[in-house]
Amino acid sequence: MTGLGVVSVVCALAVSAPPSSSSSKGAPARPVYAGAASRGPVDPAQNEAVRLEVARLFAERGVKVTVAEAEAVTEQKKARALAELDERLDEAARAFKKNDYAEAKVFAQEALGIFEEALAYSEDDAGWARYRELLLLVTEAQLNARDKDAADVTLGQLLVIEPDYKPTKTQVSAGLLARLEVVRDNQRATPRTTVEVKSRPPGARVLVDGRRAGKAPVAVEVLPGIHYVSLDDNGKVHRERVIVSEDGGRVTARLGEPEAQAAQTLIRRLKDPLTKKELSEYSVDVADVTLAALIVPWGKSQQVLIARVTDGELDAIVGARLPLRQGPREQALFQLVEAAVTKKADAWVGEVTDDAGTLRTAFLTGAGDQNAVVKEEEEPLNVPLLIGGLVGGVAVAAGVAFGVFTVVQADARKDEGFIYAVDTAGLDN
Amino acid sequence: MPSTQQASTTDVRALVAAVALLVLAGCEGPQVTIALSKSPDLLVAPNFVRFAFFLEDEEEPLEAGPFGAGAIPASNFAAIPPGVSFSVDVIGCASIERDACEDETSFVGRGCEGPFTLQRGEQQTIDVELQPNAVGNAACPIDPAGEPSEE
Repeated sequence: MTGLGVVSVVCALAVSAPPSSSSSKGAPARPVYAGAASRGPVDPAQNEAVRLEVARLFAERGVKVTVAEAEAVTEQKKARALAELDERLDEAARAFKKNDYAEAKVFAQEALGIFEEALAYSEDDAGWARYRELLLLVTEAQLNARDKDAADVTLGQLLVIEPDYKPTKTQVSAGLLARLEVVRDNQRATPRTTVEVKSRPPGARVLVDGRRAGKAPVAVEVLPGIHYVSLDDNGKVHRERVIVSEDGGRVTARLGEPEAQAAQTLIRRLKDPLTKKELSEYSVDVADVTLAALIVPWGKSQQVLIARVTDGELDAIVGARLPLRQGPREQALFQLVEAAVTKKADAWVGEVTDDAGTLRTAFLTGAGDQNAVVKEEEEPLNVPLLIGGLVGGVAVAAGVAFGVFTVVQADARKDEGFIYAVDTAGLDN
Repeated sequence: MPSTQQASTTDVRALVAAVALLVLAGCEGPQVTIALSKSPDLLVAPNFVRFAFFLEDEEEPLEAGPFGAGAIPASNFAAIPPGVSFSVDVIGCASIERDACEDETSFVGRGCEGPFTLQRGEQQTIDVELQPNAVGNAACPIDPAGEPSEE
């Protein structure tokens, strides 16, 4: 059975605020880490997609990728951000054309937010090209609104990043070109200053405004203004938007912290089956709350299991079997990540409900549920399968018993509250 | 190629799972559907929505979300026992980042309904129309101990 080969995934992520947990209440907030590593046999592309999606969903909950996955997640995020940024730029341009400055300002601010979040710390010029385009667009609007002072500030920021930038006459209006030269002349009179960039340990690769600036410690000459500085030490990343004054600026990145190292050790160890004690020992040095994700092939699809270890105690494992269809698959992953930070007990989430008793063994051995069966949603009903199933009376009875048990459980829950769904169709009108 | 024995075992397991799922599917489903709509005065559709359930005799509401407007889990649990009066308060955010939906400046619309009192297993659809902030903030939240809604 090739589909039941073992893959374990643990990625290292840090959270700004730990998920709620009884044992961590009142404790100082330390980072929460989770992570991903793999061992074969695997379908690398498929597992990579799942891993990145899990990492992205954690990121949506305030988690920042700090180690191995940083680059891959960044690439995925970058592509998404470029598409979103283009949309906002188009919307802003349309609003400016309609002279609706209030709406245009909202879109322009959103575009800037997207750029700063995902693109400003990259060497890739695609994002920076959009940044220039955005500032030119805003300047044109400010000039149209006869707000020369605001236009000068915007152009000044453009020149702080690219002092020699010269758009062509086809790109911008003659008025803007003329104004740009005035601002450039004024800036020539402004003395350059330096931003000092240090890392602990030293040697991290430095980018300032998307350009390589050597290895930390380094002093980079810049014009006073807003600059985007990033440091990268083998995937451990520090990013900072710095407002550099005429007296200069300083960035110090603390990379390679003990927690991050412990997270990497945990990742390495999760490549092999673990005992519960080992998992606790390796997790306790990582953070108060550690999230470790494991991907196990499940027929043509995957199961994803996430263990939450709080203060060295394995307090919950949640799992999801990923349906093959894209929509339910995304939803199962979404619910899984939500459950990983909220559930107090072992549980399967998503479309498939099952006995949670197998989850611990599955996670610790890395083998997953060997009895799992892929739900082939797109295939028609298989009559021979039904007949074969009926012959296995004991198994069928067990299946019904399982179903009834679950219903009884659900029935008891009706005294505690209710299940609700949300219909958002009306929001699109 | 799997052996005949393997195939048969797999078939039986598939059926077991299918029967269990059928039993579950027949008995489970949302008890409450919250149907969100947007007032014509609200020009921007929210990217994220957050829910707050205000309960009679409880100071703090039960909160859920923010959820991406297109990615709300199919079923959610609200710990509101049968017979307890509650109201629903929904806030929509225009932010493109989930975290930013914690910030009031990103709120674009708000709507609320209630109070409601559900009996055990009773099905209910709750229609909530999101209004522009000024209107929504004036009307919400609804006192869960007030007069029951017509719905």
